[in-house]
Amino acid sequence: MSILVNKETRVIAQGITGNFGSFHSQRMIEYGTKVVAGVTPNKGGAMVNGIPVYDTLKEALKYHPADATITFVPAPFVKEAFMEAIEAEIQVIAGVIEGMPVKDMMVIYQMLKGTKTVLLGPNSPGIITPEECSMGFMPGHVYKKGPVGIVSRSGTFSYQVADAVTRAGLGQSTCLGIGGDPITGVTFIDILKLFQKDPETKAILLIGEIGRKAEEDAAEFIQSEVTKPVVAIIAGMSAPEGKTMGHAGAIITGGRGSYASKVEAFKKAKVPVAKTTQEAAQLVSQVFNKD
Amino acid sequence: MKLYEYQTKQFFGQIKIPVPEGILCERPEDARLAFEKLGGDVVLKSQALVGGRGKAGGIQFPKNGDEAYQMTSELLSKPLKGVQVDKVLAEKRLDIDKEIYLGIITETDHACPLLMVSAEGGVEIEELARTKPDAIKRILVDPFLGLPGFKVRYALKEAGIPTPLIDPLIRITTELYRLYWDMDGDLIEINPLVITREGRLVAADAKFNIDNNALYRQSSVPKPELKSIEARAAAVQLSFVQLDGNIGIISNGAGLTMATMDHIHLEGGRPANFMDCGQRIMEQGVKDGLNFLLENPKVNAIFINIFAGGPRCDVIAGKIVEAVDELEAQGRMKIPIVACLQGRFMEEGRRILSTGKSKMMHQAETIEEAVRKVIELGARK
Repeated sequence: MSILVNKETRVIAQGITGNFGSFHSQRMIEYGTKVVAGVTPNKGGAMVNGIPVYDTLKEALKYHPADATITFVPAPFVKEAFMEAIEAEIQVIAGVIEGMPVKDMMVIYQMLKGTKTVLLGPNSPGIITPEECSMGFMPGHVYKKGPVGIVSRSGTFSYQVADAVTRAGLGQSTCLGIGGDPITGVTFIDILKLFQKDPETKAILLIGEIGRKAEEDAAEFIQSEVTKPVVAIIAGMSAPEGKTMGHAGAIITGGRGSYASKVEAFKKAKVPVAKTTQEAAQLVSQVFNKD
Repeated sequence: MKLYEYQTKQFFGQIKIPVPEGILCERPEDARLAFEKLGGDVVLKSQALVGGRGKAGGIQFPKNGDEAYQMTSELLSKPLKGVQVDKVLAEKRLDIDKEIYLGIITETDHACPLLMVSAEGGVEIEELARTKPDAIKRILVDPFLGLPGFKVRYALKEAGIPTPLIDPLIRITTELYRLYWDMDGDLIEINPLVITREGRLVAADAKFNIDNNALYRQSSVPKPELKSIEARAAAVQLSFVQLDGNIGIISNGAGLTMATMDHIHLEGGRPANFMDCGQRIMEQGVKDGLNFLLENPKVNAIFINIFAGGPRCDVIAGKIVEAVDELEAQGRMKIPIVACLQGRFMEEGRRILSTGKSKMMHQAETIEEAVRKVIELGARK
């Protein structure tokens, strides 16, 4: 078991014909992911990495039923690609593109309400269920099948933390990024619910950062609803107020979204907060050594 | 991207939101003429994107044309809160009866626009939110339905706005929302929206921030100025924030860059900057990054922390060696660099890094070791 994606998951790559799409879809195929089709308007009939390309998602789905899409399309067209996937009732969308206008995402957020589609991102590194399915940029070699569920707001930092978890002799059930943008399709809470239900996930590692209040909301939810052990790490302890730290969502304004506020929230929920990657891996290991 | 007050007021003019009569001045002489043209009774406002402009001396009230000249000359000659001022807006002063706050921001927790109104304008909204939260009326806007007039009416009535002003204010609010929405606003604010003694409504000050991600489709927005080092770095796709420490940082990924800063901070060091090279790490990101870092005289050691998930350490190492050796040949590489490469093709990357000619180049296999080393090297200088 795992959450959202596994070895049965059939994936369609939206925007497969671009450099970006063809490079990353090739890596996904190499990892063993079932990429069944690609979509790029006006490129129907082409083949990329041995995968058939269609003009529309609807056509692709007619010949290749699928559960998930990954959107490699450029930011100006991401809104359309998301809409197409939501309308087609795709279960999981990996929104890996950076730079989507926030207004477009406000519309998508409203459209998602009442649907069963789980949208990761935008500005998400994607999702990986080790040794089964990789949909995004995650470097396959650092992950190993195991009991730790990882949910993150960042990309590269989460790879480093996952790597430390693997080196500590543990592995991961599923790892995913909710996205670094100010508005994302899913929140930490949506993913915590899934990890809580997943029998394979025995502990959860939450990688947060300054800005927004996703971590505060998550802490409150953990306190009342999550019985599995959770460890957190938050990037941005030393970040100043009022500056956007790379991710559009990573900004402290008027005291909101500060490191201290997030640590305080986790403390209240009795969630230990690691200060470094090494410490995060150690805290997760301790969960298992107690048993 | 933040627009200047005068730019925002130009947009207001196009949609008939009343603004004070004003003249933009780039030289002291312009201000003398403006004073006469506006018939005296003028306010001079520095065009600078900083908060608390008035308190910092950026707003002046000249009594005559000569004083307007003098004051403008001073406003243009010295930085306001560290920012160089190029323009001064001369405006006819308003006969103020009351000040209202009107603003729309993108509320990310609910993923929709939020309209805020208060009958107690003139102070910063954050300040008002702290001291008198009930004085601000808030309406969440459905992005599909837009902002209906009746909802604005509710907010205005609740805020205690006098009845004769309600319809004109609904019109202004509706136009303001349209501008925010059509131009991909992140924040649009009229504070204060002045009610004059004759009962007219005038936008005395204006703020407008546009979503950077949407600039490609906003052709009417002026090109961003490349004044700050942050803006110059952004122009070459490097995400940079200047801090006040001595250890320069180059990393890949926003989260990892922050974590790198944090690690240095935890070990007692002081980060000089945030720099995320993102996708450019496989190209000239490190080279451009080093050039920006070396502009800062406070930087006396540099930490390059890379975790290569998609990118390859061997390629990145080649780029680092090339950049450092080039700076060395130019006689500019005078401070130590510690690099820590982890991820794909890491062994090959470390081998390539060790082939660099510069004596300033060091490397470490773990981030712990790298952080200790860079702090120690920085302290030695």
